[in-house]
Amino acid sequence: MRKRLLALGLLLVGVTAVAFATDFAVIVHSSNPIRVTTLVELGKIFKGKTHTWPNERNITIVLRDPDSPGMKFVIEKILGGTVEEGKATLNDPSRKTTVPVVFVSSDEEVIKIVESSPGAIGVVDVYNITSGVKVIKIDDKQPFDPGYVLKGR
Amino acid sequence: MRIQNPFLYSVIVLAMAGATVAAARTQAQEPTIATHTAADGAPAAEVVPVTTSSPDARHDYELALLYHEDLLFVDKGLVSLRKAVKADPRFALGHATLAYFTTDPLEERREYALAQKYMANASPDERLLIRWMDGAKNGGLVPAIAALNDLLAKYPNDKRLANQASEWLCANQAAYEHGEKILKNVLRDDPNYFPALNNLAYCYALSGQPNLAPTLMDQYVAALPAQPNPQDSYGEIMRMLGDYPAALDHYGKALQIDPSFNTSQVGIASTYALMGDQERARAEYLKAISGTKERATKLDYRILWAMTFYRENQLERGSREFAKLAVEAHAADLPVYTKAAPPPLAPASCSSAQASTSSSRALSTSFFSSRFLARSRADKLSPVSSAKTN
Repeated sequence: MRKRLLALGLLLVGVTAVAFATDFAVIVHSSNPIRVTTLVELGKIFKGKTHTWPNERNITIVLRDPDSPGMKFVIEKILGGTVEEGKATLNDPSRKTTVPVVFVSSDEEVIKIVESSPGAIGVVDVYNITSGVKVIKIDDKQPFDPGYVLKGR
Repeated sequence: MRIQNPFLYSVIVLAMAGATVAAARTQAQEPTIATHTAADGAPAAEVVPVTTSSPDARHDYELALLYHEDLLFVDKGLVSLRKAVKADPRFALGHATLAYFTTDPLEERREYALAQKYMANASPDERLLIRWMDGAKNGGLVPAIAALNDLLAKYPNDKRLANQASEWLCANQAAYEHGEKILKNVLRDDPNYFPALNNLAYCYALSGQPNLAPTLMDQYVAALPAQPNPQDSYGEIMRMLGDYPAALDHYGKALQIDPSFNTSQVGIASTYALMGDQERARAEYLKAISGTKERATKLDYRILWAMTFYRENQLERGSREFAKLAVEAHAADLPVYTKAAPPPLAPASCSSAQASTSSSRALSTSFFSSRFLARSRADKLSPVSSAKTN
């Protein structure tokens, strides 16, 4: 037995598909005044059209490798279009002078960079967040809220 | 989060091995004592501290974790926690843990309020633990996860913390990869840490890999031959695999080891229900109902009992029993699935439903957290207990 087991569920609940969904959290430095943004604004940041935060800090994007699990969904959702188009946008050499993108190999690295970089913004699996970063709401919703836009599969 | 006194721990483990000398001798050979300490040679600071001014409260708290978290004597764990907070009414972590463990919504609300009231008595890391437990059960998931990850990073050798965390991740959050990763790390450092063997087996089963579970169950049984829960878990895993005779066999062995291990009694009843023998299932559920003193648990078992009428297409009787339960539960401020009471099924649908619950996926739903369900049910019934938002 597991102590959190409720045998009731066995007989009252019907067949439920095993869920593997996870929500992705958009994180910023804890000193960043921003608490909420929109998917549209997030898209502008990722496209390099918005360069700075309201506090004038330059924005840097920190992401896991676009080919890593889950990131395809994140890129398509935020940038629209296909993942290949998104990768081209993020890898555009000209944006190094506007909104640079740093690719790393794990969520832990994303968090480590964001928590030490006042202008950084990253996207991680919500189950990897720590209190060293701030999770911002997207369209007034945060991870686990019904209708949260970065609910991946 | 550890038994501070090794002698006390030894006494507790030996005492629970059974009343007979033989049982105690068997238990003495088990690796249980070492499993609740930090990694070999690790100082006490490598586990989350427990702050209480009362030695009695500390003793009862540690005993409660041993019962509830490690050996799965859930009711005994709750009793010990109640004693702990009675010994030290200002014991914030004790109140929060009781609120987290209980399935009784009244007790949960009261204990969380007390945990908040005495929060100043808790150390910063205990506050993180409280924040996780509160958020995990009450819906503040984002800060809860952050607090949990902070703790896991700070206490990488706290095996019980890791086990609790991974259980929550697998069973409540369907975050199987995360839970498996933590459990595998624990077992890499201590292959005999039996709570992790148990939880990893369930994590596999819940994530649709039940075939990986029996090997772990064999290890779990071998690690604790005189304890009932390994046999109980094995029974449940076999039921998930659809092997009902094997499930009944393991549940029976659990009850042979400890006739008071009531969850195995429920396991037997539910297995008969799945096998289509509702009359036998009801008789077995009645034994389980009389075997628990926890009012919320008793209600859960009574719901299972009432459900058997639907399963054999006695629709009016089923509805009547559920209606009675709902009235009683409301009168006692207990949660009940008023909206989840099954709609009348046509005979064909009953057969279909019964067949569907034989699949491992359907059986996986049996692992829904009682905490989660208790909260969900309470939310539907009581505006006082509405879930918090982050």
